[in-house]
Amino acid sequence: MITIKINSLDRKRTEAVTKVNEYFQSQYLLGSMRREAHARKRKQAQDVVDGITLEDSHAFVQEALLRNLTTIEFAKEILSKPVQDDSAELLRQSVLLGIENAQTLEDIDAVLKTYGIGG
Amino acid sequence: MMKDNVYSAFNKDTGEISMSNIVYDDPDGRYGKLLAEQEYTFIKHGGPAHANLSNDFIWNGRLSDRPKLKVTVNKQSMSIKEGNPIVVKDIPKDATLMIQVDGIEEPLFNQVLEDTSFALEVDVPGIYRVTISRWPYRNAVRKFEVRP
Repeated sequence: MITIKINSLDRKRTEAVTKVNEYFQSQYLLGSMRREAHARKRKQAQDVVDGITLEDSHAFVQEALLRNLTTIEFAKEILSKPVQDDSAELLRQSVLLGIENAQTLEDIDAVLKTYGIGG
Repeated sequence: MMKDNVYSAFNKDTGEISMSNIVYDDPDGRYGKLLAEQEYTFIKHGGPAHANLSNDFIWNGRLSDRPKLKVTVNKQSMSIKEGNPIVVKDIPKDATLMIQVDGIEEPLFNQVLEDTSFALEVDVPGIYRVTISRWPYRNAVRKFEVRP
């Protein structure tokens, strides 16, 4: 008679890691355009603070008007906000660590559920 | 109510039914001629309904029940701490064994078994499902609860 040894936990971990990576990949793609726009706006804000004058028709000037701010006030406000860092990678690593430390199949499901990953 | 005009097409080597239709308007067996033209292997038979594609097959030219696959298991549940694996016996040779656990999409094991019995050892608790298939038997499905 043969003995079949099943290592479910490793299989579950592998499946969960794939789900986590797919989730963060999709989030990154969604967020990348926003990050690029944010970086572009910070550069424009720095230009304004450095004394470069923008045309009245420039989107940066128009947005300042929409917010009832002068161009320089708007630029300073943007520069006062923290730079968007890659906190998503830190979060991804936290999830992966949770999966690695899980001792049961339910533990892994709980980690995924906590972060809203998977079905 | 019995139907007279039931046509079931099947694989001539295995008897596995691929489709089964009740034909209400079938002058001169026209539907049978159509199936023959399309090179289907089929039989025309009666019955209360069309054939059940999962539970029936064609054997010696007749619609027949697929036999049940009877396997023997030593228990329905086990504890990892206590050991003593689940043992499944009386499996026909060359049956396909699939093992799944709730919460994992892909089967944990899916292979043809040369042995007629096996012992199952698992690493974590869960509800495990063992499916043994061997044509023309109906699949034997057994669920096991594995406790810590």
